[in-house]
Amino acid sequence: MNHILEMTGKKIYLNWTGIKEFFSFTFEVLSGIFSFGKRTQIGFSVVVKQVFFTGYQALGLIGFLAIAVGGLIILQGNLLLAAFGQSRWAYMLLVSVVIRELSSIFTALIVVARSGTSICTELGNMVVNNEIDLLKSYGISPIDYLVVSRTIGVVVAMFTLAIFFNIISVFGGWFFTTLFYPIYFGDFINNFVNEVMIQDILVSVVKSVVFGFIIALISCYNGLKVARATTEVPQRTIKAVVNSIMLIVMVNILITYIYSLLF
Amino acid sequence: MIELRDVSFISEGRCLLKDINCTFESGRCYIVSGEDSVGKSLLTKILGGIVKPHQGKVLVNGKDLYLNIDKQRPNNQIGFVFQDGVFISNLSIRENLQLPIKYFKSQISYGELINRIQLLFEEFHLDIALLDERPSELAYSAKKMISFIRAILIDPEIYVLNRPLFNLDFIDMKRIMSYLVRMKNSEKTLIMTGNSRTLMENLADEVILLVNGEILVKESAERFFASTNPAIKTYIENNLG
Repeated sequence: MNHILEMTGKKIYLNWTGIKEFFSFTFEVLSGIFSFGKRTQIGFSVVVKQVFFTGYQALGLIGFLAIAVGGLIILQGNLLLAAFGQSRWAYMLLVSVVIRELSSIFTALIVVARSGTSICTELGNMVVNNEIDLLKSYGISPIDYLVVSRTIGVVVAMFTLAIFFNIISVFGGWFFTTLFYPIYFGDFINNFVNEVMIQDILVSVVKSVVFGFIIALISCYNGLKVARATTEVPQRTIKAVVNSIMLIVMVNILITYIYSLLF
Repeated sequence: MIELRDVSFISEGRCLLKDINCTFESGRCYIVSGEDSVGKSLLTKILGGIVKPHQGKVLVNGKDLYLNIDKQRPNNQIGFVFQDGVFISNLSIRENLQLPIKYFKSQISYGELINRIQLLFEEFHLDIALLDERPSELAYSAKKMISFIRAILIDPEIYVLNRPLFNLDFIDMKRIMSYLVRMKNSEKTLIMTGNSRTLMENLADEVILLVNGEILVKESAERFFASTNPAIKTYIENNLG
């Protein structure tokens, strides 16, 4: 009994210490973001590289998914709603499901899989190879140089990718609709614009920015938590992916709930 | 001057360094010696501003090195040389050498920096073409020499070197050694780890022997080698021939 209590206590203590550490890490990153422009020339090139890798190189995959998702939603919507004579509601479905929810979630999942894992692995290997110690020996803070610039890069890329996903999914919706019900692109866009409101776009943008921040933060944190062994790198990467997805899902629910209260 | 005051370091319940008190005077050369895993590398990292001790203070010219370490940047007081010549692996050697200077928007112009790098490369008989290589493409000795050059570039007052001659061939060892002598003559403070008798006899003002994370002795090389202390005698016999 004592042993169980001791183990439970130890686990709670460790979790609490971990949470405290993560919050202090988050605070440090946030303050680094606000003073980013003042300090460094090199940090900017890291941001550009990160945007290129996370954003530009993911465009193909995101575009493909966006066409498929937009198309499928509008197809299913048309099929179901036509039975009730409410085909026009398919546009509403496109807005509420794709624009408000799926664009940011899908983009986030792709970014977790591509960039979250690579950031965590890269930083983990840097720890193992003493590269973090090297930065400290110069007096360069690893958080300022590595984490802040990557976080800004991922956030910018997520924001851009989510907008790109939204645009392409609408296009996908039109394309798949024309396979069954010929409709001019202009008419389709008109119908869509009549349904979409500024807050729908806003919530999608807010979600993508918040998710980008979560992904970068958790991936960097786990990468830097690698101690000395290369075997820890994949373990930490798995942890980063799992934690990112869990937190993204929870925050998504929270933002959607706030949205439903406000609008 | 750099001073360790009651410095202790604990890892996974093990005390790796215990109550270290030691002063390193300006312009002098110190060699920290000891068996493997006694805490020599850890001590250099603590002196280099890399690892914060769990207890105690590191004072550089009277100021706590780890107090507000974020606000004291850049760290141009201490030049650190890693045992195996560590580099940022996804940057070229040129980018590695420029990193701290560019990062802190240093006053040194790009041209001046390149000139200094070229001069040092010539002095150490290194091919200037290596500047465009990635660290992984370099031989061990080249990595180590360039890592030494990197520390010299920022022209610090204090050098902390972790086994600077380890695994080098005779010629490279001589080059580094002669540069260390020049640094000593120009009143730089040198703190290095190593188990080389030649290094101790030719360079050290004082030898520090670490045993189980504690300083057993800190004295001149002559007195160290003439010591009658059985522990020191055994160490010299087993490790320094």
